[in-house]
Amino acid sequence: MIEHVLLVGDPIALQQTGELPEAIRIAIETIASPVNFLFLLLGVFLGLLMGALPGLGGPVALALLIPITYGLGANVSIMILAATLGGVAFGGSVTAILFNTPGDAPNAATLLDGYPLARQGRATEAITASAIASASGAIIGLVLLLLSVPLVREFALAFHSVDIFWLAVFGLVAVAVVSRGGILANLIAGAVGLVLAFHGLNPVTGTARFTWGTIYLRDGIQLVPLIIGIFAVSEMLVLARDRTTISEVEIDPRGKLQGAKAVLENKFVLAQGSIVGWIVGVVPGAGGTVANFVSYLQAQSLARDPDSFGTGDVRGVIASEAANDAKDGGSMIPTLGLGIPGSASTAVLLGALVVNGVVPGPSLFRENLQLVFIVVFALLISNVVTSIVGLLAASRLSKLTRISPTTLVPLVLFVAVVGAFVSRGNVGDVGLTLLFGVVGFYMIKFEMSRIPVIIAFVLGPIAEQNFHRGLQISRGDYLIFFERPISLLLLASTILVALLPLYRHVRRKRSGDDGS
Amino acid sequence: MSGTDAVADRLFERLAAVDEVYYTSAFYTLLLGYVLLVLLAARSYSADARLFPLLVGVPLAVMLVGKLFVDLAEPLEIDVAGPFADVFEGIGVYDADTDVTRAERYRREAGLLLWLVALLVSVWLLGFLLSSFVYVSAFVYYYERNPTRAFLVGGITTAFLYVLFVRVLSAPIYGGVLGSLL
Repeated sequence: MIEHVLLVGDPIALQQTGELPEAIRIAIETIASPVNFLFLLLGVFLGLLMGALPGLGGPVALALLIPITYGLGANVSIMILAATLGGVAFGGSVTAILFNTPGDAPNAATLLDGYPLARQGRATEAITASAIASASGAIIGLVLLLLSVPLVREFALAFHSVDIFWLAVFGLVAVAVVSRGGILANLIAGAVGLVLAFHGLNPVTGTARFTWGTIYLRDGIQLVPLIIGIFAVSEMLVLARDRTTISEVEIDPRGKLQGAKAVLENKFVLAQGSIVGWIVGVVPGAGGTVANFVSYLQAQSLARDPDSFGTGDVRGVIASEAANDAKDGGSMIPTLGLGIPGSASTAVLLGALVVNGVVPGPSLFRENLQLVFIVVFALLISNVVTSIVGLLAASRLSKLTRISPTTLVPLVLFVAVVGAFVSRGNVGDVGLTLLFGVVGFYMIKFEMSRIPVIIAFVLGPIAEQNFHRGLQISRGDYLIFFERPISLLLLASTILVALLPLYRHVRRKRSGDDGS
Repeated sequence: MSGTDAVADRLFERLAAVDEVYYTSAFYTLLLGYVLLVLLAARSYSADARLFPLLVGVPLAVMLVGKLFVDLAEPLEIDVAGPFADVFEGIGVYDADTDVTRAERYRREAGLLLWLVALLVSVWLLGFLLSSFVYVSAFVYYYERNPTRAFLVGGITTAFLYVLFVRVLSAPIYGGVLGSLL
């Protein structure tokens, strides 16, 4: 009977606790069971695959796994989902590097330098650096999570609605500054993303906005068709039009060594990216999307040669990937500690907890502390496994950049539209995906950056909802936006970041004048 | 067929003769048009509901007008942006390093748009699994003229979709209009 307790489907009553040593013991026993470990590995590989398929990403992967894992019990279900989450993050970075298509919004910063590296025949180097940075960032993020368990409540409650509003604004400005091209084009792109986000039923005011009389738009424009269309479909159209492979040069055979060396030489970038990613990941709602951009921006600002970012600088990949994986550790604080998701993927994870009869929030730490450790260990193992897979497969994956476009394009297009359909089961999403594919194609043609569109689309509703929430709390007093220290810090940071292009412009002019 | 080709050639030559900046401006004008529609629609919403659309839409419209102004001044060789030219620049175009003419590029773009329409129609009619084989095979055959490779790529795509989505994930897969009739 005792052995039976340790297998899949064991009763919750014997496998939950609020005591720390007992929680760790249960977590280790759950994961170490051979059958459960096999499930964990399957979750990792599935996450890797789903993360790598354009637009599918974490939320869709986890949502599809919930019904499959439901009967296995809360501990095992959450273990599998956490492992999948770990795999998705790295899988999404592979797509970002190879196809200029983020697996999910949090992978967007990786493509800024990852894709240029792939086009230069250095995809192996980029994937290797991403693999090592991801694993390292995840480990650092999880260690910080474990250290902060006693302070979960304080951390998660430190952020008020107005702070989240300012973080969303900061994220919007940071993306406009960091993305390639002139600031005006990026601001236009970001504003377009915001306008797209305003379509549909607004949860704050209850108004259905910009539906143009259609039922389809009452739910608003969905993120999955937007990402798939504006990135995957448009990139494939460009490849098919130009009839060129992604990389027009031979793959560098020393890529793995170069990638590993790059991470070792940039330990500071790795460390700061991880810490920044974790801190920003703690912020409920906005953190997941913003973390990698904030880290990228910081790495760029601190570099002696910031202009190299965006042209194939591996430091950009290291900074964004370290943050992207460290943020998972940070986002577990509001997700598990307060029941407020840190990102779309953790929102689905929360749903899985509820479906399995677990109440997220402070009571989880009192009654199901083992789940916290199961998530930590599953994420840890998942990130290590995906990084090993990434390191082993980097050279082979890089060969995808040399596949003939007339073979690659229809394959990717089809997987993309299936992914768009599967998220809601709505054929209209397929049409929307292709429409955004055309829009994205012309955005590329007319030199408009697409990343700000996606990030603004995600952050816009967060900014709006928290703005109105803040006003409701203060009963219409706008001063609430300027009273809290965190708000003022974020506002000051926003202004500084907004002035960065001007500073760079002046510095460029000065070095140009000195040179002449 | 050769008559149609000749007409198409003349059409794309005429399109290629137009300065690129006018196409860029047309794109931004379309965007501006949509933003103005949004602003007009927002007027009928409550104060809370229209606050953010107006906060974003009005500056966006102004920025689009500014961008159009700078872009359209370029063919007239009027330097509007001055020392702030880099503020208005785009992200840079992919340099595909191909030897094709602009007319040929436009022809290819038009062809790809038709392929996208075909994708939508085939999925709607045949459903995902059947259309994946038909569409992918047709696409590969059209460009590579290798039937073996075409059927192989089509078959692999269909098998992959079936295994992952139907067998592993038990995800609902659209069967198509014809599929629902059968």
